[in-house]
Amino acid sequence: MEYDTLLDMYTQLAAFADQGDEQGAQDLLAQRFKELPEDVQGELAVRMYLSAVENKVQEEDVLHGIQKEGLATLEALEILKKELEKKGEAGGEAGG
Amino acid sequence: MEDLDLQRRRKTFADRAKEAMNRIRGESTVGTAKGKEPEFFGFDESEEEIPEPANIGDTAVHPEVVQAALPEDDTSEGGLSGRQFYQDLVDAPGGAVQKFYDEDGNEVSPKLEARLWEHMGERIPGVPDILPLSERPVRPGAGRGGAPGPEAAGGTDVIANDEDLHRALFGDNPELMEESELDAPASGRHGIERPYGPGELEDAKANLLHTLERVSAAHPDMVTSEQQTEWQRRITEAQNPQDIVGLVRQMRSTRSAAEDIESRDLGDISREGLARRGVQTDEAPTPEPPSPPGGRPPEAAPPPPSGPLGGDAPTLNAETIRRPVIPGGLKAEVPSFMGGLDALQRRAEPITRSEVPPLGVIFSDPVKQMNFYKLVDLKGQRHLVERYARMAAGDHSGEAMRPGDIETLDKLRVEFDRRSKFSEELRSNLKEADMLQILQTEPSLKFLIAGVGPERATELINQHMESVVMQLEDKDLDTAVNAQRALIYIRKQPEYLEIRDHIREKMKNENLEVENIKWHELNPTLEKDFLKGSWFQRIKNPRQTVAAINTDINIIGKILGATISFDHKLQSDVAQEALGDPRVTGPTIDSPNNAQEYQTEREKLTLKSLEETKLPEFKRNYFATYGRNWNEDSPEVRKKNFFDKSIIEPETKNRAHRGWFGAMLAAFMKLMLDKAWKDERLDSRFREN
Repeated sequence: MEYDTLLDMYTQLAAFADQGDEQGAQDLLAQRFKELPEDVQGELAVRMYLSAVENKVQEEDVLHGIQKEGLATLEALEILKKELEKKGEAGGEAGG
Repeated sequence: MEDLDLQRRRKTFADRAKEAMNRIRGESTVGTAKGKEPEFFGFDESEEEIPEPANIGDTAVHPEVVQAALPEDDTSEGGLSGRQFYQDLVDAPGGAVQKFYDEDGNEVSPKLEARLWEHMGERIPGVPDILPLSERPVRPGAGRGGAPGPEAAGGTDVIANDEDLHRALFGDNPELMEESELDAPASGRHGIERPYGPGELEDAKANLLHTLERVSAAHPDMVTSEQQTEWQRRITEAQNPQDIVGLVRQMRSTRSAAEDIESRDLGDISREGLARRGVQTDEAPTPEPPSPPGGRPPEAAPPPPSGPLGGDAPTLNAETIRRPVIPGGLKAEVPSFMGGLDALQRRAEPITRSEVPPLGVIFSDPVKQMNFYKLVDLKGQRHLVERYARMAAGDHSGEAMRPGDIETLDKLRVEFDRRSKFSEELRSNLKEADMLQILQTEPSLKFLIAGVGPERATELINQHMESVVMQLEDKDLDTAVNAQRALIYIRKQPEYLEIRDHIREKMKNENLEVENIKWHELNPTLEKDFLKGSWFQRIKNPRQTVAAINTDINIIGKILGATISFDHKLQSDVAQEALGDPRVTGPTIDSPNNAQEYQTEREKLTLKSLEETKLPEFKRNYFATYGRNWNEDSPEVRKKNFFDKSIIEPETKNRAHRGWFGAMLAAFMKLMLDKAWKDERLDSRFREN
């Protein structure tokens, strides 16, 4: 019974989601995926794949922002560190 | 009421047909009237109200075929008695065209056609029932019959050269064509400069004048009275067929310019607007009014008669299916360093209508048929497919197709082809290394790889991509296509590669190794501070010791290292942390769009299937909201309450912050609702039988 299988898996997944148990959900899906009819397997696979791609693009954007800002900050901190070292205050309080 | 309305419509059409006949008699003084009502700029919208014949005939024809009238087919002026006529629905761009054929399979004259229309919907005394063209016995050398292909019929919706134009203007008489070959002028223009008889030239002029008159009346904004006068003068003064050809071309170019403007008016989805544009637009298909119980008596309208210009056929050659660039789409998500959105926002190559497979082709392929059905279903027009299939099978017992139905299907056919191309692109890009990497490394797809392995996973995605693409809302399809394009594009950008090299160099200087980075290993609070946008705050108010600065550099170095890590989970964690919403990835069921879609999905279902859905969460929410169990309420109350947003909201709210769970649960929900819907339909059919 395709519908019953779907409902059963949905209910279990929802329970894992409630508990935030990602691994449990992954295991459940991995174990029971083949129980689903092939067209359902295919649809789930495509939908999850497209969702993953979308998600990845969003993450790439965020990561790129982190990289740009992080490198700029890193360089600024290095300059600051050199200035402190130049003042001979390495290891001590800069004061103020 | 409906009968009366039908009578009124029949009368209206009969009057109009007579008027058309009179007009033809008055204007076409010489030769046979090959032209009926040439469709040049579009249909007369008022004709949409006209009823259609009951027996619309077999539609197993190639919709692209637009058969020009033959000149000497029907000399039996008005003589219907004892003759066997055939009918066929020719699916032409811009709308279906109903045509009648004589015993030889040749299209009847406009006069005869008008007579036939006068009797449409009733038996004609002394005339056998009009049969589908496919039932006509085929004799060698005769005209159309059975289900000829475009080549067989000698028709095409493309005017590729002068010969085609000649054919469209003057018909497709094999004898004339043969003669024209013998007389082909030195210019090489096959047949165009052949010395036509005066009747043929006058006929073409009359047709063009008539077209001009119609278009001018229907579209005063497109053709001013001054322009009309000028066109009339030029047409009247035309000395030879070549002049007419030139005028037609000029008029077509005028039309194209007008369409450029018209096509921006996406709100116009009327028959007239569609035919005028002849293009696929983004708007939803014209909704079909609900059918009364027991089906509607046949009453649909005949399509406007077509003339030597072949309906709108000759005008579609250069037209493309325009589609605006991605609306909204990924703007928020597309990385800023991608060199602008323009490159990504260029959608697939424009589709010319002639590239789109005819409905007959779609329906002869079970996979295409199923996928087309899904698209039609998405657009809320599934009943059209059922009607079409029944009609194509020769079953005329149910509700008849109407011209608007075929028009809607034609529009969906174009959309189907457009989506097929996107599906192909998505599949093709799946071969890219980046996509395979996603398949194997994305946390949300781990189950897939663990469950069936990477090869089978790829196979499944390839096999079912088109099916899903046909079910995605436009915006979701845009997002999917562009996300994939964006990712491939990003990874190939020099900046993408350079910044990674730069980070690697920095980490080397700090003696950090990318492979050894562990998230939250050092100081989670501090890392979060950096990631939550306080990077430069840190510089403005630095910790004023070298040791403290070294710590900061170390933290930032690790975060940067994580962004180029081979550990995709680590990369994902950093990104999600920076987004401020850990582990929320992809579409979640709690987003406004999904909540809305969810409700829409539910609204598609009847109470019966709702009850069968039996979602435990729904029932819990129901109880929480109303203080009663679902089963305790009357069906009316249950149906009303099922669509109550307060029931849906708690359910969707609970879905927040669950990362890929949201996408997975939404996918499951969609499949369950689909299944419930199918079951209900099957059950309904069973009951009917």
